[in-house]
Amino acid sequence: MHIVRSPKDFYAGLIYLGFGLAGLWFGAAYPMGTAGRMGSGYFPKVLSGLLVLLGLLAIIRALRVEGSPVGAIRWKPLVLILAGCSLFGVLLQPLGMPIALFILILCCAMASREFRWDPRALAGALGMVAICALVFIKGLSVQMPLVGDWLITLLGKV
Amino acid sequence: MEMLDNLWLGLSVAITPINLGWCLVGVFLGTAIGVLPGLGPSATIAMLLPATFGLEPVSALIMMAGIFYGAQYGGSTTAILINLPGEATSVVTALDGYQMARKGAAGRALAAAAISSFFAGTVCTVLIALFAPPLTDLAFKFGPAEYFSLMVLGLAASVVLASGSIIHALAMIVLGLLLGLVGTDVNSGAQRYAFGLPELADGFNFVIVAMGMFGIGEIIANLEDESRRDLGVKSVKGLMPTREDWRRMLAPTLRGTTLGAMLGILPGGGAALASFGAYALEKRVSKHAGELGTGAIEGIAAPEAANNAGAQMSFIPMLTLGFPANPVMALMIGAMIMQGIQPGPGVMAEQPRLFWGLIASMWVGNVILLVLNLPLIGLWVRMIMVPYHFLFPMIIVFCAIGVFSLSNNAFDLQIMMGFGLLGHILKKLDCEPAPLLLGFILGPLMEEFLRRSLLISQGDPTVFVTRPLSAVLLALAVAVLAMVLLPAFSRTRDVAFKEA
Amino acid sequence: MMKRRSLVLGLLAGLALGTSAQAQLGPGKTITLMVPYPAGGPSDAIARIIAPRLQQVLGQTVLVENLGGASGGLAAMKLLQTPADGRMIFQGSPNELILSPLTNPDIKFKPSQFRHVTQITRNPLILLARPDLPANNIDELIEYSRKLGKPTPYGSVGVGSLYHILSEDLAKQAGLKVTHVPYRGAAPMFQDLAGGAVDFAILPYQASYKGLQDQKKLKMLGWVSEKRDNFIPELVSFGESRSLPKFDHAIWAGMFLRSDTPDDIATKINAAIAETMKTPEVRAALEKMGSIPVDTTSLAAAQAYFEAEVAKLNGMTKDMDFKIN
Repeated sequence: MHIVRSPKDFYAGLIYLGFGLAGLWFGAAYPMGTAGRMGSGYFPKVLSGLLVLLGLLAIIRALRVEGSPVGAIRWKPLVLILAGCSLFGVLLQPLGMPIALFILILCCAMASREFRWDPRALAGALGMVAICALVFIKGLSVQMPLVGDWLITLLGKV
Repeated sequence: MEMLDNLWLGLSVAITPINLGWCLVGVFLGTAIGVLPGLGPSATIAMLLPATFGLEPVSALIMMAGIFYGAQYGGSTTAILINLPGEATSVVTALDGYQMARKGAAGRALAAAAISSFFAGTVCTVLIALFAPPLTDLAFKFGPAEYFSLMVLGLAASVVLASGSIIHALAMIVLGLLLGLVGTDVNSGAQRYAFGLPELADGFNFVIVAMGMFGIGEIIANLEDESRRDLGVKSVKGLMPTREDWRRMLAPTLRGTTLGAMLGILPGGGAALASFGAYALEKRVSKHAGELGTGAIEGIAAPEAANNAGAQMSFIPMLTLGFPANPVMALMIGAMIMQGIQPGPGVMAEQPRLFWGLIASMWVGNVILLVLNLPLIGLWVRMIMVPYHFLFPMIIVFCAIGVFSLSNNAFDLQIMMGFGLLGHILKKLDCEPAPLLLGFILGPLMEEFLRRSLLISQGDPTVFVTRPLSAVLLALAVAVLAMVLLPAFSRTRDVAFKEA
Repeated sequence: MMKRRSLVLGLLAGLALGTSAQAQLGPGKTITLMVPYPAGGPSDAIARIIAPRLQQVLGQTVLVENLGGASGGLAAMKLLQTPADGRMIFQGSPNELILSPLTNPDIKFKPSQFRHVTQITRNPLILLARPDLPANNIDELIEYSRKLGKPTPYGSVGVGSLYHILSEDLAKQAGLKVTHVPYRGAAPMFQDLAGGAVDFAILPYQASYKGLQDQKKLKMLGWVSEKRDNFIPELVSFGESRSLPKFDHAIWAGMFLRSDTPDDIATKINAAIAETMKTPEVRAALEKMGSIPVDTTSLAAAQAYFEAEVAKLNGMTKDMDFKIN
């Protein structure tokens, strides 16, 4: 018999507690002011305190009330998709939108169980990149570089 | 009847072929960008602004207004189909809309959204035409104290949004409130939780938070769980609402329209509350309240009507005084200035063709939206039947580009990734993101209005009860909270007793 | 090997064909006009009026880039990260370059890291009051405020904005007790001014003020300058008042480069802006927006003006014990 009867409540409580404590810790220096003339720290501290309280309540509940277990985490899609978004942000300026977007699509595709190295899928990804470049950069003039800074310097030296 | 003359003048301007054409262009563009996650109406209008200088001012404004309400509608479409609300106002539409879509009723959900929006739009166009100036003055009765009390009422009502345990609902709201505080504190100018990053000085953008928590979080969950794949949509039953649907939509649409119209008058954040408020109201008064959250048509009709009513009413301060209620209105004012028209109280008298033409075009635009979107429903529904492994990379690509385009800042993608992770973890733990998003919207507003009221009253907290409007709102908030919390506590007690 | 590289080059060139700034190779081919606010705002509008003409004058592509955030601080930081080759021109004002680093501790740059090329526009300021305030000019406002017995609340578009600092300076010079009520921009502030929650505010002139005054939504108390302005000649100026005849301020915008940009490049850009600002269409479009186009000055004069502004604002904020908490 586990002490934690409701793992979902337990972990959610930990998250609330974590955010609450972080809020108190990082907000420690913000001045409280008075109730009549509140400083910038008043709301953060009150809210963080409330969150700590709710976190503790959720944890107590997790020990007393039966609940369902947390489903298993599949790391592959989680990591690949988050990494894809992050990489897109990092690579956009240095490599330009088409290459960064292609990498993002690749990351996404690999996250799927259906993924195969298939020339048609590759063509689809390239087509997607081309369409996005046309629609967003040409059509809607989103301010993204087609060729990145880093590539320009690299090619400039050739 | 002067009013009829005015409306007639407006209609005669709005239905000239050229203006009708621009209205169509605007509505179509708006719907398109609304459907593309992340790309919002203000970014699109800003990009198109230079192109409108060549147009006649009326045409330019008609087109921009079309983009605005078209995008409102398009945002609801993605909320229903793929659980991705593109605007603050379509967060609640996603709650029941997405559930309906998963049950194969996406067509009926989309139709319900279109029809209730159209109804609300029609009512509000008439209201604006008849009462714009007195409604403007009404808005001035709302000072910081009243706004604060309204936010408290909204927050109290939002507790009912959550279907699960009350602890988690409260915790998600408080977490949202806390996340909303990141960035520059308006009252003191201090940076809070910005960790030395100037990128965080303006806080988190709502769209990025929604993209991460709903969009990315949902996709990862779908990829994890084989049984959730293909959105569960194998067959679609009926594209149009059934007779039963019509009957069930009527009252919620009326209630949503009323609430949305009232809140939409208030430029300081009233419209943001409209759809949440309408949903919360349904949860209290609807005969089918128990079904809300599992795919009830009331849960689409009410917030959609409220959201569209609020959007239409937010034109009022812009039209009568030149005060923008939201960024899109600010852009329209900018466009007027560039066209050599001075926005402000003079517009109605000096530019009757523009003023009434724009108002009439709102109704025309709503008709176009309906005509355009009802046939499109079949297409949208087929789109979500595309195998998921083709669909989801597209959604992510649009999210990524859209998030970047918000402020041309690649850092925003890292923020989206962070919220995607948080959203996924919370989803695993059955914590609902909707209350968090509401808290996120209301948090900074509530703090701002509270501290501003106290600043003006020299620290005297009695302003909230001595000002009658504020006192009424606070009393309502207390009543709502009591109604929500008392049964909830007695229920948990029951459960605890049973298990003991 | 050679072949493959040229293939790659060809591909990239194909992608880049006739497109954006970054796409053209070699230094100095395209110019970015950096606007520190999102597209669609007033400063974006100014840039979009100037950019096409500037492009003709320079014979180079001029692209407007919008990077909002941190009251313009993000865009200023981006300028400092690019090479000092004049390819990025920053269209800024004291709000971003002088006041933002003073008020936001997370902004690490200093005004001295920027080189002022020239001023482009100027906007006169107006003192506004709530419609039912029992005062009709600055002298009466001061008298009213002294008799009030509690601090007079005034609105501004944000902590550390020029209007906040000027209002504090006004209060200090007139010996008034005031409470600063900051807002997120002008729109919500107008709402509270018209609703009577705050008593006064200093803001740049807009043509709609007259209509709003007629509708009893606000009251204009005077030009914040020694002389009246042509936009509303019948409105009195501070110069005519007994209390603050020397209180004369305006908000301006100008073009900036990195401070280490070579002289020849700065001179070239200064000349190009001068040529652009002479164009009647540009001037007319700017005036329509309520901005006054300013004749271009020499590089030295522009830099001296900027430094004087920095000193002035530094002094004002220091004197008033201006700090963020």
